[in-house]
Amino acid sequence: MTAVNLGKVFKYLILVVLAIVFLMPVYVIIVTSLKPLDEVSLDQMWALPSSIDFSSYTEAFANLAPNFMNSIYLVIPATILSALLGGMNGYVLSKWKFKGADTLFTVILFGMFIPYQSILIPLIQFLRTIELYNTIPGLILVHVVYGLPITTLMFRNFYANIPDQMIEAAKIDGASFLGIFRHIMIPLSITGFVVVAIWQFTNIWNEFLFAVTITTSDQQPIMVALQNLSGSQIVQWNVQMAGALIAALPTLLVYIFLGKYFVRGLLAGSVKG
Amino acid sequence: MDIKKQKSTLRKNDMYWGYLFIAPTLLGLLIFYIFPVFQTFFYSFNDWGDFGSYSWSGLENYEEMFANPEIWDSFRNTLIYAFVMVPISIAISIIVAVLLNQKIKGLTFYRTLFFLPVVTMPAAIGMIWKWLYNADYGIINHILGWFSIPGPDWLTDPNWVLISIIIVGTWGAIGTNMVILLSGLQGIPKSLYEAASLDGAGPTYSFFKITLPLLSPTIFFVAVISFISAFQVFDFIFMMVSPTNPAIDSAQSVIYLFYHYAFVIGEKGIAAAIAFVLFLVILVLTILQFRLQKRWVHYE
Repeated sequence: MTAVNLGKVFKYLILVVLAIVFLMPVYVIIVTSLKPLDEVSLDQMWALPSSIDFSSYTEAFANLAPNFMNSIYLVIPATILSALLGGMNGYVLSKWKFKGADTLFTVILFGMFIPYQSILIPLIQFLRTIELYNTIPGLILVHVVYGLPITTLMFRNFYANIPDQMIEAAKIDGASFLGIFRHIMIPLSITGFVVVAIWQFTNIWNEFLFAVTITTSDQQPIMVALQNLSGSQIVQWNVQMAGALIAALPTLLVYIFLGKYFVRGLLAGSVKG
Repeated sequence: MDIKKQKSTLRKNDMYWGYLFIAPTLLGLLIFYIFPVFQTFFYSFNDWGDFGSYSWSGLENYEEMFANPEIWDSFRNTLIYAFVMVPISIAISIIVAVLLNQKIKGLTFYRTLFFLPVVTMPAAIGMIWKWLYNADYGIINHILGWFSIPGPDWLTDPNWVLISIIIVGTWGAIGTNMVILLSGLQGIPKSLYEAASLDGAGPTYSFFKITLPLLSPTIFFVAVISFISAFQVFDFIFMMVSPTNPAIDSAQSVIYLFYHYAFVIGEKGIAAAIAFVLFLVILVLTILQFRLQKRWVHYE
């Protein structure tokens, strides 16, 4: 009996200690961001702000707003396009297998394992040639292409669950390739689209290396601007924390409201692969 | 006969649609993946001029690269990071996943909390930890101060900086690992545990004799993807450790240095050589893991 209790105590001890480690940054970011600069000092480190002060948010937002919009212009088209193309690939690769479809799928999957840094230099050369370097459309293109392996994999797994008989029946009724996609596959895969879209949205919003190398100054998405904010002369920790929170907010909101879809996406892209 | 013929032409038409659907991806793969890998390989044998011109220089970039202690340091840092961070984060994730696979109060709260870093922008994570680690005002040293422990200069002391980076990397990796492992745990039949407990097996025995072996394919998968991403670690280090940091040599990862060579000082040839060597290291390590899996991964 005591052994069981001891085990129980131990369990909760691990969880509580870990929870503190994970909560501490959350606490610090919120508390610091709500303080005026003169309260961000050694002796008041822990303390709650004497009065809630949103000035760091207004200042951070003034600095980040244009880049925040860049991120929006980037992430929305890139998410929609990569989801749509992934859906098309998934449809063909699961239900319309042509010769070499499985080989092609393996090649696409292999793309996920290529560290993308190893193609970054030629990629930028190429973007310069087609005059998309330092543009949001260029960044959209890159994110669409590099998102394709994962979105294809997710849709292929998703469509594998739709019975082949359904497709056969539709064919007998005279439905065409496009007809089946539009009237059967898409309506049946709305959840699939939601999962893939959330997954892509989060990854593209958070991605850093492409953003910092493909765009400069006023074309930069928010994660790069955040880095610039931290490089400014006077270290205003309160403004930095407010900025970090503003930058992280969209994905956090998506996760809080649609978390289970995000997790489903993670699993679709990993375990079944 | 006639009908059959009509049907087959229809099929053929549909076939073309199939090819059309897959064409953009195929084109994208060729232009953006396959061709550039060879291009990078080619660039690594060239000397780069100021205005994007390049000329063949043979193995010079590789010679320069291997003669450069900075580059050796970056590979050493990355190897240490990967080989310390991956096992620790997987061990913690297994414990957390097993705990959260039971009936525990506040289950959803813990799951949500441990997963938060996964959805948070790495740049923001770097920024937050830089503040937590701050030697003078940071909360970590403040807490250590309560116990009269003098905290180190986490991000500027060459002896500590890599440890600080490993802590953040581990903290950020637990969420993903935990979710994948949880899904693996849910695939283990409950009846096995019931049978074991009827035979008088304790929880420790069940964990080592049932949970770990049956979870090993999932653990293997987590290890493979964790190593691949650990070797590419960049963004949060870039955020926490600036190029002027006195501890930079003990902190910069391979990709950090790659970024520096390619985009700060414009030595694209050397950068391409670095990228290519990293590509090989990741490839070899992944193949090695697949080879070694027979020794410890149990497939039913």
